[in-house]
Amino acid sequence: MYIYGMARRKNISKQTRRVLSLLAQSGARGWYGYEISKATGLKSGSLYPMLMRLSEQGFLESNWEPSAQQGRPPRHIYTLSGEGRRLAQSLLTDDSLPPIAPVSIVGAT
Amino acid sequence: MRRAAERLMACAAKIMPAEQKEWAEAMQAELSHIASPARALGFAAGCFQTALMSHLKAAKWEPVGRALLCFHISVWVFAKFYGGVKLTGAMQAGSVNLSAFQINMIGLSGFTYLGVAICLVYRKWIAAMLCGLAALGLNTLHLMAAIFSGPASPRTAEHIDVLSLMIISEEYFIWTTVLVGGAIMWIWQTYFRKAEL
Repeated sequence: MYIYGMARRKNISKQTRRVLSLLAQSGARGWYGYEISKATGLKSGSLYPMLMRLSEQGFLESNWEPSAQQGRPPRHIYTLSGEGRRLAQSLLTDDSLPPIAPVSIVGAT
Repeated sequence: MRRAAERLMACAAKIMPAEQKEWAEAMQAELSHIASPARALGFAAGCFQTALMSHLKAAKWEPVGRALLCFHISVWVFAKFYGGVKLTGAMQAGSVNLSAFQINMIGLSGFTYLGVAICLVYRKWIAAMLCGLAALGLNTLHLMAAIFSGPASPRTAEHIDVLSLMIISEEYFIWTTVLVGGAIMWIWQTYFRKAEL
């Protein structure tokens, strides 16, 4: 499996840490793309490439979920994988990394 | 505004590479859940940017690069042949007197071009680029010497024709592009793509 070294961990951007922090803090709850964008303040142009990379590297799981509102298409819901959760925890407890602004886990569409 | 957002998102879905179509569908689904038309447009613009970058990353650049390289090498070979014939003719007619410095520069640039050819054969791209730049530097020195030389050696401008000028310009254009492009790629890789995640 992918080993996440200390040297590489320093290369993770603040934006990625914000997303990982949000997903890790909200436990088993899944997040929609637009919700993550609102909660972290990231624009879709930055958020989606990041989600795609995280998913490719096995840190993020995405599933289709039927929409609660009738007539609306199903949405992608994102949760951290076990590996992603471990990575997020290690990042949150790493004092050597520059601090990130706290994220609000109360997201709404 | 809502219609514009939907159209932009449809374009994004169209240009997204096949292996990432699911992401395009996910973005489209999100769009339909955004109530504010202005926010929907902003969201769609970001998604279009993502799709465009994915499209560019997935594009097959190798054939384009190979075609450009073949074109440049062809121009190069032609330029050297044409230049050699023209210069020899001019020297025999006595209309061009080259100084020892100029002859040395031309001779040295010949060796560096040979170096470029060998590096290209062995696929040593950086070495080829450095040899090419050295050749360009030597050619520049030769041209400068010709332009600023005294009356014993006629000025280059008087002997240069349109084709020679085009060939010289092409050579400078290609190497400048290679140098500037290489520098931009290096800066991008070093400073802007540090975040692997």
